[in-house]
Amino acid sequence: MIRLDKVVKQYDKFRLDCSMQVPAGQVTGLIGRNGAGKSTAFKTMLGLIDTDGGTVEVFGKTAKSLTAKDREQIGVVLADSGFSGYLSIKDLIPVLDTLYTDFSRKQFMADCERMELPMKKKIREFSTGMKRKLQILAALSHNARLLILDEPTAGLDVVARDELLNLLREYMEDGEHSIVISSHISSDLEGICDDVYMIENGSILLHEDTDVLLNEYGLLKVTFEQYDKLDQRYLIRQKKERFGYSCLTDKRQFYQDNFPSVVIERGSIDEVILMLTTSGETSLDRRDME
Amino acid sequence: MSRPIKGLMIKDLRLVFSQMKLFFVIMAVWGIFMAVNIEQFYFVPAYTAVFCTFISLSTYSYDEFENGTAYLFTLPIRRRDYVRAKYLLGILFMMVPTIVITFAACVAGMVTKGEAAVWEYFAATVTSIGIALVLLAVENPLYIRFGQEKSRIFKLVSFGIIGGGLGAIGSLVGESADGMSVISSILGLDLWMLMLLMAAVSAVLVCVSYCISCAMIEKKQY
Repeated sequence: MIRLDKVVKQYDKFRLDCSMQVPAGQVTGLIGRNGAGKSTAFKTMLGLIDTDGGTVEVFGKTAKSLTAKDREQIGVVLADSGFSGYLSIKDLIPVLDTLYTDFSRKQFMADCERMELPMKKKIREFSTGMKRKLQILAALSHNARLLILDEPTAGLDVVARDELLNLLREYMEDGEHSIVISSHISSDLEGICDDVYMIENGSILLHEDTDVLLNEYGLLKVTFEQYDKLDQRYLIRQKKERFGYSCLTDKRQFYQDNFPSVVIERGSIDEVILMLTTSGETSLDRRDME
Repeated sequence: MSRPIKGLMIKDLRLVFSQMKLFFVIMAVWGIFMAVNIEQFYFVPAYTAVFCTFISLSTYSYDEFENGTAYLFTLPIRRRDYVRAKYLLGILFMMVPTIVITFAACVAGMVTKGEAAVWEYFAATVTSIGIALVLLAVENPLYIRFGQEKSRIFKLVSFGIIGGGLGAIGSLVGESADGMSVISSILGLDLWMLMLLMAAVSAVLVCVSYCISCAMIEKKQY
């Protein structure tokens, strides 16, 4: 559905340089700290910014050459942008109805009512969460094949986040749709993504299937003595701590079997991000990044 | 009209009418009041055309609110559809209210004074729309290139250039025999010929301006 191949975007103090793919029928997550380059990557996918190198393809076409018909197949949530605050939902409905051939007015209105979004209130008077819900419902309202969601859960409370994730799961049920989603709330992505890309300073640090990340990655907490005796072949990164070392591995089972006295925590996106993005004493990155 | 342009026009019309209902009522009442009470009736269409052009231009700032223009370009529209919709809106906004208010002023003048200079009203309306078209042609690329805030500086510069240009023509008329003859020959035209010329010049300016705006928006980064 989407392919970013060695895409480069150079700003004064920031450079995006990444490659990633969003396959059909999958939910792909993009995770990283604020300012890591998530929104810039999304903007290249949508043709909102020109790139300085590489290729961006959506549905096999360059982002700039997407027609209005192609764009009807994309639902979008942007982190820093939305519908004009001077419109109300009531104003928005005829606009969406005109722009999208498959816009489902009834469903959209029912969803707005279910999410308790006022129809006549100006959007600028909405809370952050309400604005986010509106964008999500609009993205889901026209039977798009692809959703590009930049921080869709930002500003939502726990209940609303759960509701949104359920909506996305329903959307993925027929196996023909795809989602690329970014969030800095890793638990959101753990629950929904098939694979995740971790981005830092504009570069992809890691690409892994979520199942592999959760089931095979682990965090070893070892003392200095344990560390000296540890087989370090499968350590991705280590960080010096007061008690000894924290070590990230993608072979958790190996250490569980061979070093039973070592404390091993189950892998999570948060742990992996922390280990990969905070500076460790020794970098042992050995992964062949895609 | 294509779906994208129709959708964008609906958005802009809803934006304008939700924000400026009262403004249009005041304008209509004011137009009639002016027509009844002052002799210089041509002020009515001129004022209406220029103000309504600025109203259409104000939709850029509604779009820009909270970086909304970026989101607009994720919807099924091409960037040039956005430009086309803005020009159409501008033309619609300068023509319809100007014609309606001038017609209302004409009728009001007829009822209260027993007569109305229909030809003069017509000439004033056409001239005002011509001036507003020039305004539309100058302002649209500035709004697209610089946005609502930054374009203010460039607007001042552009008005300065226009003012300077008029001043230069004035001095040309005063000092140059050739310049004088050109201006004289233009001024010597019949009123309807002059209006036709003005309409043609305005139309060319709007077309050139549209092409410039399209080129600018294609390069703009969101």
